[in-house]
Amino acid sequence: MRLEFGGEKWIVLIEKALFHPESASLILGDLHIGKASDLRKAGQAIPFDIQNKNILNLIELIRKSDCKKVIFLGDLFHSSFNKEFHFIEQVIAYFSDLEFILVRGNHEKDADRLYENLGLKVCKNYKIKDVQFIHEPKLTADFYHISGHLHPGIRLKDIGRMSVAFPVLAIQNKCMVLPAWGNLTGKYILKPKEWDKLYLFSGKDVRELG
Amino acid sequence: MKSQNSLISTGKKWFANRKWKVKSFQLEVWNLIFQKKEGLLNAPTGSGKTLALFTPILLSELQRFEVKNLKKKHGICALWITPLRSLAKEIADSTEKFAVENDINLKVEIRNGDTKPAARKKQLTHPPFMLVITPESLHLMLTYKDSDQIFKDLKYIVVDEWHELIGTKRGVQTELAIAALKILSPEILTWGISATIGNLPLATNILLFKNEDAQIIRDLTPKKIIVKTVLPEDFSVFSWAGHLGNRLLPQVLEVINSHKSTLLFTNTRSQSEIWYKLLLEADPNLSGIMALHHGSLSRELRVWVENALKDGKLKAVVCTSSLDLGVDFPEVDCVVQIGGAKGVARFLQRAGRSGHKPGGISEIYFVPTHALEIIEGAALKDAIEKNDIEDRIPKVLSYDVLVQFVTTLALTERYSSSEILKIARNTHAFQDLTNGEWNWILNFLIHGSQSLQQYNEYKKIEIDENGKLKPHNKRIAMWHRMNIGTIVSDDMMPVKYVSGGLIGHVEEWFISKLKKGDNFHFAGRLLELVRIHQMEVQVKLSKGKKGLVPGWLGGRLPFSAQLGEHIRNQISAEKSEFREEQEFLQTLFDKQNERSIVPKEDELLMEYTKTREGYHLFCYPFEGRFVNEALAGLLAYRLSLLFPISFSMAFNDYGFEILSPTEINPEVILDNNLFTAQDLIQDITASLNATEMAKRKFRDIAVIAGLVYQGLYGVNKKQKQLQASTQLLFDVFKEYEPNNLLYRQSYTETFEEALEEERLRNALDKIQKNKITIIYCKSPSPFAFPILADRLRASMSSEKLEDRLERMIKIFDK
Repeated sequence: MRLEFGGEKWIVLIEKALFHPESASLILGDLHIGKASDLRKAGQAIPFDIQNKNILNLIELIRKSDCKKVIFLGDLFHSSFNKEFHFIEQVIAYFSDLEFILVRGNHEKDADRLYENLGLKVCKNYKIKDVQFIHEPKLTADFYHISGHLHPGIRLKDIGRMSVAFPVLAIQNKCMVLPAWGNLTGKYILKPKEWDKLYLFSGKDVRELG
Repeated sequence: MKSQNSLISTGKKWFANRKWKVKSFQLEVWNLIFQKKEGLLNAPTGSGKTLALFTPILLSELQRFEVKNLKKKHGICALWITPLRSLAKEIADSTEKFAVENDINLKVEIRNGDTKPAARKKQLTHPPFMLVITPESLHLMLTYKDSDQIFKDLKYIVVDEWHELIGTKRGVQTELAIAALKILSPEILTWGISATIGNLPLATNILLFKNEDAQIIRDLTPKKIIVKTVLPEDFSVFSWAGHLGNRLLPQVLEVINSHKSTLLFTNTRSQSEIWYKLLLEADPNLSGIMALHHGSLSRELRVWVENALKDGKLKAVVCTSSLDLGVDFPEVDCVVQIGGAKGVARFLQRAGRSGHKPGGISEIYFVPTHALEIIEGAALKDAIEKNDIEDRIPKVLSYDVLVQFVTTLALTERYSSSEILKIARNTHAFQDLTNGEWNWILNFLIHGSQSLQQYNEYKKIEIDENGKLKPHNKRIAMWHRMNIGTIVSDDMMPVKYVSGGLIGHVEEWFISKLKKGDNFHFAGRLLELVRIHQMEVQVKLSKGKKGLVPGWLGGRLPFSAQLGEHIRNQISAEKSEFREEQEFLQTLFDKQNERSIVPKEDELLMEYTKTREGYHLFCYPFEGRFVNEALAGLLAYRLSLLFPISFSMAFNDYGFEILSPTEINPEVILDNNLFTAQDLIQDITASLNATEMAKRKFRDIAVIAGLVYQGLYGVNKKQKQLQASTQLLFDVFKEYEPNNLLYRQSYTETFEEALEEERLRNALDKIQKNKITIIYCKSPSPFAFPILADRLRASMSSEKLEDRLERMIKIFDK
């Protein structure tokens, strides 16, 4: 689905990601890589496969989108350095002609150098023309920006006292928030009336909610 | 060794010193113990059951206390296993006092989670004659490297309140401990004490596994019970539709005021908070002489209430199952049950909390909470008259408990795997354990499960060069010791005054709904939330008037099959057989007949109604909420196979409701025989709720088997939050390792306990024989109202998500 934001044209991909055709940039919300290891350390038996799936999906999406640049909106990594980080290193090495940018999130606690060693370009905010990329959304800001952090979702009511939750991309004023991209992440349920526009990811398509 | 007769006369003399007479059942037990026989004593509390067993043990061991043997060092002679910490002190005190009064100097000590480390240590260096212990603490002792030395002189094991243990994982734990102890000291005599349950012989066979000669001794002293249903004065006063709320408050106050001391049992902790508040508002005179008691209050508060009750200082105590068992309160002369008791045994147990004096009469008042529940009063009376008491279904093959037990024995570094297998197979619970299952468990503990092999975190034990099992490292041993047990606590946050002082615990989700300055009722007080600091809820007394009442999950038991049967009979009773309850409900039955029908005994009633919320299908099998939930899921699933449709479901003990946004033709249920028992397991597993229920069961299993640790000292907050997500683990096994025994156990437990498979099959059987009547109602009937009011719902859908999304977007409105 196409949309305009901050004077730029964007495509909302059904894979919960955003694409900027002009610069061929693929933009992704929070991945929380390493959460599986973290859970394991805390005594929970999470096998690697669940994270593998995440990484496979990432490779698939990069390949399909035919992008030149991948922008992670922060919280790419869940915690300080662990084994799973090397998956990202391998992905970056595999797509060696692409540029990978990490906008630092609150979960990235290690020094820039550590992330740079994996092949990432690290910054606090990144810009495509007039649109900034920062981790935490600032609803009152007077500049256009695209963020993650919130893990936005909405709960749709059905008749018969039922409801289903979906991830959404939410826009309010000059702020756009992408849903979390990782598969070990939860959702923060938004109040729809507090947002100008919502794009719902059903898994098969993207729908705009009024 | 003195002759049996001289021992008996010594015992009789001891009793005579206290002006007691030896009861005939006590004498029977004495004789059996002198003959080295094992058995089970079926006697209620307050009947002298403790001394029935302790006296012959003491008499048999008299030579130990002869002068020439006094210097000899003896190990622990007897273990008294009790599920309740609160009972321990009374048992220890009364037995020790009894011995000392008869000039026998011995010690009876307590060992449980509250025992101080120094005292524990001393118990090992200076062993007491008898230890009063919980199953958990006993397992902890079995982890010690010198457990063989500690228990080498053990001769007697008494398992108290066996009816409470059987049917739980603590019961399985007890079975395993006994089997292990019998290897350390082969001459052990085991005795159980149990209240009346439906399947007493089976309970005996489980405790005394493979002992063909096990005896059952019954205390046949009859106890009188008076059951009264509290009815409103005038039926029109309260709505026949829904909850009675506080309408019966004046009658309940009257009951309290006409008795010396009353226990008021509620089914949930929230309900106890609400009733405490209501009673106090209705009669401020109760202030200071009424108290609240439930499992989420701090230990200190509870102990205070128990002591005050014992001393007769309290006029009334509002409580939950927290006071079902435990020390006797001689002053209590009346019990009130608020809401359905869910089972005959439970109701009798509660009734028995009053009139504890010899020859006393138990008086219990049943207070229904909604109109239809009044019928339960009639059903309870009927069941008690016919002495129809529920069975306790024993647990078998609880792999999680076995995984824990293997680790327990591995900590001693003295057992080989075949020795442990032998112990396990010497229990009723694991007699049918296959070699394949055993190998899986060993493999799981040695390598971590199949999907976790590469991680050291899950390698718990290893086998040393002599073939003995040992813990992988010290940390595993430490974590294991701190997590022994089968009781899994919820995620609770401590509630404390800002000035200090623990009041109790509430669930995290409740607190997360509150803001600073919000008021809530807890421990019978109105508290104001000051702040949440380091996972502690800090509060102060509020000056306000209103507040929320915390909810605690759980505590919603289904009523038993027995009770369901009696309720059904009572509902369809002929006018000539009416009790006061049916007389009273005549108005409700009339209304039901006006809108629908009152089903006959061999008739299954279904009602179909359309309201603003959608199309409702009600069905009333009277099978208890678990079976009704399963039936709802089964029916919904089978309907969804016929055509794409979405449902939400609600259920109570009487029936269930399926609610759909689109029309359902109820005739298709009959036409397609959707209540068949064919493919039952397949269909239930496929229906959403089996998975959801298994997930709930899995939480406990993961903790017991040590996949997830709870209650570690010095755990940071983050880790605590992680504990909540055993759900994730479940999904992982579901996807990557469906053969995992623990994962499979969660389904087995779901089918046996949550869905009560056997009862479900019987229910379907009954439905097949019943006449099914479908009534098209203009508006919901009185039977439907309590279900309709239930907001806790499950849902299921066979529609394409796109189609649902289309509809949901259509009604979506900011």
